[in-house]
Amino acid sequence: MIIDKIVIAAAVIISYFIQASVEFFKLGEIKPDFLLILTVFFGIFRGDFTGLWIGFFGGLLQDMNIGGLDVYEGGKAQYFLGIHALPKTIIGYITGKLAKGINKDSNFIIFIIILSLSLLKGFLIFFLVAIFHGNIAAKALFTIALPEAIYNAVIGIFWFRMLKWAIPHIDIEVKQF
Amino acid sequence: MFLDIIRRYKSEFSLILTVAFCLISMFSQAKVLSDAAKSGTRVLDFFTGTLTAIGSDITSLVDSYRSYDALKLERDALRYEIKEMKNLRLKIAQLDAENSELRNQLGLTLPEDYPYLQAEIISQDPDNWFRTIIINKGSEDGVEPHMPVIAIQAEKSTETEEKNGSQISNVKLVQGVIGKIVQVNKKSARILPIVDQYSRLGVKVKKTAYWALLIGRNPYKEKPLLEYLSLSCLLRPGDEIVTSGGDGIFPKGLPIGLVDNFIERGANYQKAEIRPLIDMQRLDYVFVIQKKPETEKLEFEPLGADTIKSP
Repeated sequence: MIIDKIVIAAAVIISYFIQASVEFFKLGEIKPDFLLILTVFFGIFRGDFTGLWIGFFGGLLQDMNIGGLDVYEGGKAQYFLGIHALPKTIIGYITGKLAKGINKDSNFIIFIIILSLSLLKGFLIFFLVAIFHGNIAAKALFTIALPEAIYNAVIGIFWFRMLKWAIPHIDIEVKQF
Repeated sequence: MFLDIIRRYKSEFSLILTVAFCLISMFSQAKVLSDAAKSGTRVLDFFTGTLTAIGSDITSLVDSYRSYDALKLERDALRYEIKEMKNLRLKIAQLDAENSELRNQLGLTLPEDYPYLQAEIISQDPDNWFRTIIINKGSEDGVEPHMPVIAIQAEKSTETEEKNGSQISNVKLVQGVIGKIVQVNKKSARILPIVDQYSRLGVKVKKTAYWALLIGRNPYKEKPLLEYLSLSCLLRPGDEIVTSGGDGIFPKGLPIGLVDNFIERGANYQKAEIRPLIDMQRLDYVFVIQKKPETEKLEFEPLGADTIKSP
């Protein structure tokens, strides 16, 4: 279904835009990861296949936004493709596998799923940054990963409702491939 | 047969494929993939530019077939517009002078040796782990890699009056360095902020003029670190740090930040945490100083008996 794919693409792009350009949701220095919430949402309602691909493309968009390594010749910025795409892909896949048989309307379950998967994302990013990106202190797990996970989980409950309202046919299974 | 297996295990195949892609790109530092990503942006820019150009050509073609009367009307309108533009230029010159005067009064003098460009931030921090800033001005506006970027921001401070103990809120404007341009597209550019771990900046302590290096540490820490500062320099919290101009990128004397409470004296050098003057979380507009890097090689002859010639 082409319309279905357009809706998914639009959801990813809008979430990315909110993530990168809208400062309204910032609480102190932490803002929620809307692309992660979207990945979990589609993972729960559409399964592991859709979840992992949404996570992958959403993460890639974020990776393309992070330049930084300054190469003097020609003034090029190095992209770090994969640092967000990898955790989100894994999260999309895990959500799809976890979602079978859960009560998708329970706020408590949604809260716990987003909280635990956000923490997983925090751990994965922490290790990926430590391995591939340079210095990072373990303190970041408490100053960045934990508050972000809690914030994601709280916002996630409302965001899930909004997404379900915006994409009413999300419950209908779509045959893929 | 093979297709059936793929269909049955499509999620697992997709997972292996995407994870392999991410790992390869990270292990190889994604040089090729980065270039591909940048080329993708360029291709999009090219198509946008081409469509705009075709649109303009069609418009001018239609214009050329207009009647003589229409052309006459257009000529009159243009004459009027030129007159308006002349008035506008005068007004801009007046406003420019007034603006400089007000900046001088506020102590916010942008470097006068170089032209500067105001830009709006269109994207910032796509994640909590990294600091990245993208502005809405690019190569079409004259932005080039390594151009310094500064910002002016309002800072609120509360003072207690001695007489009656009441608190007075003051708002003062501060000016500070944000970073430098590292990537330029046609209509956008990316800034490497001074807090980023890849940022290195030649600085000096304003009151003593001792040189040092400012090293960004994000995502490790938000505050950059002042390194390689001579032990002879007596450093105190609150001391102002400015650009040294020695890196050939930033003009001399631009304010960066204040020395924070962490000061450590080592065996050979001392280091300190710096609190940037500009709060990177509250940025809306920045100024790109259109200064090209001074990359001229210092081709001095090595010192020796032959180098020093007698008069």
